Amino acid sequence: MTVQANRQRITDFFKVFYAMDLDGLMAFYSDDIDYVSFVPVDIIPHLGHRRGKAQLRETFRIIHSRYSRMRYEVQAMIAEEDRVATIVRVFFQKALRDRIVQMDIANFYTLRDGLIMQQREFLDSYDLVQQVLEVDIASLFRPHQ
Amino acid sequence: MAMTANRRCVEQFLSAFYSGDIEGALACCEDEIDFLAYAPIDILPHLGHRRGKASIREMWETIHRRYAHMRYDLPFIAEDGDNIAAMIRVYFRKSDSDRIVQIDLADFYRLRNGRIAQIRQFMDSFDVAQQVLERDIASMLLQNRSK
Repeated sequence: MTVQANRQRITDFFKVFYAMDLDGLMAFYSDDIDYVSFVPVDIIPHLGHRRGKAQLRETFRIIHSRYSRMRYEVQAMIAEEDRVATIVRVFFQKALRDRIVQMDIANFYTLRDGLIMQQREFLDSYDLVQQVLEVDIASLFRPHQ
Repeated sequence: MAMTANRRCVEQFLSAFYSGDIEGALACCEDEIDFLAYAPIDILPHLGHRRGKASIREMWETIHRRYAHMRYDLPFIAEDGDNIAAMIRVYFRKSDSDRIVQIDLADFYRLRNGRIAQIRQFMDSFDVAQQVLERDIASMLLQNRSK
């Protein structure tokens, strides 16, 4: 696959992922996908390290069940050989209430024959925990009034 | 394939920064460099948004005071025109306790005229906060929610 083809694959992957098409997005992954999202797994247990399509599918099923709508803006896409790195600004509407979770997410994809075989995901996990749990973490360290 | 000037600049920058050569790292940057780390500034006030060499020098001096030794691995780097993305595994040894802090960073560099003009830095900021504070914040949150 050429660099341009890999760039287009990731562009197409985003369209499917944020349209919440679970079957469609899994078609972009290799069977032996190695995925890590660097977040606290004791707070967000469906993320962390996933290996293989079955585990990853379950992760995305849970994510899609928690949000009723997703939209995204690609901020950066850097492609070289079989590697693509992206920054995406996402807006997720919580399914149980109308709150919007907004964050910038960095991803590093390594592709093989047009399929994603490795993915490393970075985000401001401290801020994500605050938005998901709706808590002010720093308040835990302030003396009680 | 020969290394491009942009990649050479970023690799020189990383080598200088993690060996403690702040002036060497700054020499790889534009005067008006724009830096943004996606991290909680109430816990890590020296990070956040910085603009210009003076502000960034201050931030990096703070980091290097806190850590006696740093080393890094570069498992992923990609270059596309004036943009470079790098995943960096960093090992910091704390100056005051000898503890090792290990984090993975995602850096996105934009270069102009062969120098770094912009850095966007991502990290597992929750984990960094726990390692820096040496507190199990996750347990505190879970206990707080069960009350």
